[in-house]
Amino acid sequence: MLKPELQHLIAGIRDLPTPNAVVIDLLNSLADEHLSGEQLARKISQDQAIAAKLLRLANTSFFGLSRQVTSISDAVAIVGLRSVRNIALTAGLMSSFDAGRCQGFELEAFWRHSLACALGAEALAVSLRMDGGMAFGTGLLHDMGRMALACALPEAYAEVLRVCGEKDLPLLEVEQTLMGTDHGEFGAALGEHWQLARPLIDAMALHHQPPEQTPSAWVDLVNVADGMAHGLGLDGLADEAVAALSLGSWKRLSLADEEVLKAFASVEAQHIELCQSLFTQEALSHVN
Amino acid sequence: MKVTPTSSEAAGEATPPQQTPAQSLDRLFRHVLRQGQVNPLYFLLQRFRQQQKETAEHVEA
Repeated sequence: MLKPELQHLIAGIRDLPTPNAVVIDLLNSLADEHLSGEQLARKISQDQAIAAKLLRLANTSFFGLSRQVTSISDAVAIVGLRSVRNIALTAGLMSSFDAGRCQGFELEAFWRHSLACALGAEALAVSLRMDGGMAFGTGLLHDMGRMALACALPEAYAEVLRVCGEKDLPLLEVEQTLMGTDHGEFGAALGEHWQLARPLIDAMALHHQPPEQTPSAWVDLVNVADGMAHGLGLDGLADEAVAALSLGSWKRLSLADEEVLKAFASVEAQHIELCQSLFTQEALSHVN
Repeated sequence: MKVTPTSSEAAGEATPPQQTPAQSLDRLFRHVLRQGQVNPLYFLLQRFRQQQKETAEHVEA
């Protein structure tokens, strides 16, 4: 919930485009352990634009398939349920927003970072025996508050970005100083508005400040994956910077050094392949 | 200054500017280093980049 004095910002959130029903359905399905491949294929098939993008991606070198994938069911069977859902979610979300009115907001860099964080969270989750699908979703959505601020308050957020660049200050600090809120708080309000699953909202709200008292493994995971993604320099901007890592999160996850090194390699490799396929004009065009 | 990646950079094909891996890391971790915060990821990424460098040298040799 936003602070009472910031409740007027909720109107900005209500005016934001809502991802289409298929994307919301896919987000909700992250918490469904019993989702079958058939159910997933049916969900994705309801949106022709997402389905087309998914098929195009499934047939790129990323999956190295020996034969052409021609249907969503095929893709689920060959590529796997989790990968198909991850790609469909990424493609669907990417097409849902346009922060073009916010000067200085680099849309492609935003999605490059979100994708890197999603891949990082997934890689770490697998080594921790946590659910990889939910991990990918928390990573993909963690910074949606930035997108929401850029869309809902483009001029104010452009000023935040300008000050950040000019003074080389951490984004969160400048957001709090100039706007009285930050992308964590705003993202959580957005997540509540979309009625997302609790792990997704928590990751959006708390990834920069994981609580010590009531820790959530998802928040800890995204805090570390966010640092990993920025540390690998994957958003592609010259002024990219790593935010503070929560040492509490780091200790609670107890990651082995070798697992983290393996995750670095896997994220870098997958990120290159997926970005090659995702960042085309077509991929950034609107579904809504 | 913000730099929008070109399509080849976005595709991950571009080599980084003329910075050593250590310099790149110092640049990426500049806020953390400036504030004297401890970040285990910094040291692990140093190891990772060193391993990558050694592998590349080994392949070249």
